[in-house]
Amino acid sequence: MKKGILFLILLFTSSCQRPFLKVVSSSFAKEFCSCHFVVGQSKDYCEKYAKQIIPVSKYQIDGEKKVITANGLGHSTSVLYRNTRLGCRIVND
Amino acid sequence: MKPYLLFLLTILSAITQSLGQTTPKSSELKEQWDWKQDQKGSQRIWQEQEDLAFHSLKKWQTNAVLIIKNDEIVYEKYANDFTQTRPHRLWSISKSFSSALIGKRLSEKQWPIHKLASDIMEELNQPIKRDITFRDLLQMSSGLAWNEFYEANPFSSHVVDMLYIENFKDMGLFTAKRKSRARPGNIFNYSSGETNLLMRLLKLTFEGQELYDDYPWNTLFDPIGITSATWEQDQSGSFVGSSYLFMTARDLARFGRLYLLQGKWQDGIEIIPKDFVMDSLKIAPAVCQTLKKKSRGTLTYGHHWWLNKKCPNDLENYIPGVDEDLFMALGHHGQILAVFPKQNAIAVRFGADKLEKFDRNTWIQLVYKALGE
Repeated sequence: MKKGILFLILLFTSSCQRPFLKVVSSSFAKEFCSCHFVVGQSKDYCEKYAKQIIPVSKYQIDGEKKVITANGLGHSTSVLYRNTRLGCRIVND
Repeated sequence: MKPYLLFLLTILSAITQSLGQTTPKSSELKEQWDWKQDQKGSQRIWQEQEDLAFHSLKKWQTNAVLIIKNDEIVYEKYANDFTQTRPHRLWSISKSFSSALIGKRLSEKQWPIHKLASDIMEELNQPIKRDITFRDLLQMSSGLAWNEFYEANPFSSHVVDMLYIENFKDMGLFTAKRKSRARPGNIFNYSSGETNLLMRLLKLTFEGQELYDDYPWNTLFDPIGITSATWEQDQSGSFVGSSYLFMTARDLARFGRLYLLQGKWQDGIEIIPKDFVMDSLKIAPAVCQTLKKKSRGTLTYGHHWWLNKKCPNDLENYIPGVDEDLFMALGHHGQILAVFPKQNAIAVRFGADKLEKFDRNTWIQLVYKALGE
């Protein structure tokens, strides 16, 4: 908890913080996608693995399209599982 | 049917079949060789390293350990739902594979290792940057500014920016745009950016994305029988050679074996040029002069491989008591591929150590000790 608060303070006082805020949704979505679709681990395992100091506010799994979308700190990131060879890739800004 | 017609049909059939046999696809040439399984070996000798890896109360998580000696699996254990068939992320172990592909491609193009990167990538055609060679990038000595911090210090981290924030669009280009803070070849600075710049350069040597996409499989994975690989790309279609390769422990060990055999596989077929492999395992010139100025506390470095070799002023190897010819590929969160040439042995460890606390040196020493028993 303390670490999270400190992280948030540093985050909002650091310069150029707007783009940096993407790190929460991007890192979670990317690592969750690879964990779940490439490695084949369970959703529970992947949620724990992909979690960072600041958690995402929500995330969704589209099992049919194989897309993970995560939201955090005002940003949303979608990551697509392409195929067995090429794995996952962030698909939006 | 009249006999002569039957004869004609038979001949036509044979001709048609032989015309249909084009060059076999790489999938048909896939290596059938596999590790031997040691049925009789004692597991007692591996207990110490197992206790450290799996049963310690310390804060690390081991997902797999695989140890091979003389092409036989002498120890294998998985945890946390990982198995011999489940791929694991390699993180920076990916860099050593990237290096192998560059070595192969340089050989195919008949380019020397000191080929200028700016010959291929116009964006590097600027003062100082235009002198960066493939060798400089392989040795993490391009002089391009880079902060390789991770979760513990993400704010000024170029690698976090590259992977997650703005520059997953084109990671190699992002790296090329960093400032030059030193002339190429003078300062060793570990950088995921340099590997991804190499993978972008590799892409530029192909006419067409598909040829590039297939290259790791055609050149390396299929010939040595790696079947579980996934290699992710950035948005521009370059492989994220620094970090995003996945495969099983048994497959990763094959890559270790390839380097143990100095780039050759079965029947002496050369997969990666021997000269390149041997050069990869020598200390890069900038390493010792850079490390001299910092407190010593790291392995030395070749072409994207970590080495147990000493710098001239060191009293002992970084991992004492273990042969100097030990070389390793290492990844974030405790991934280890260790090759022990004198013991003809390979060890793989997969982990999820978010705190990066795994006692790698002690584990290597325990494995080394058991290999000698």
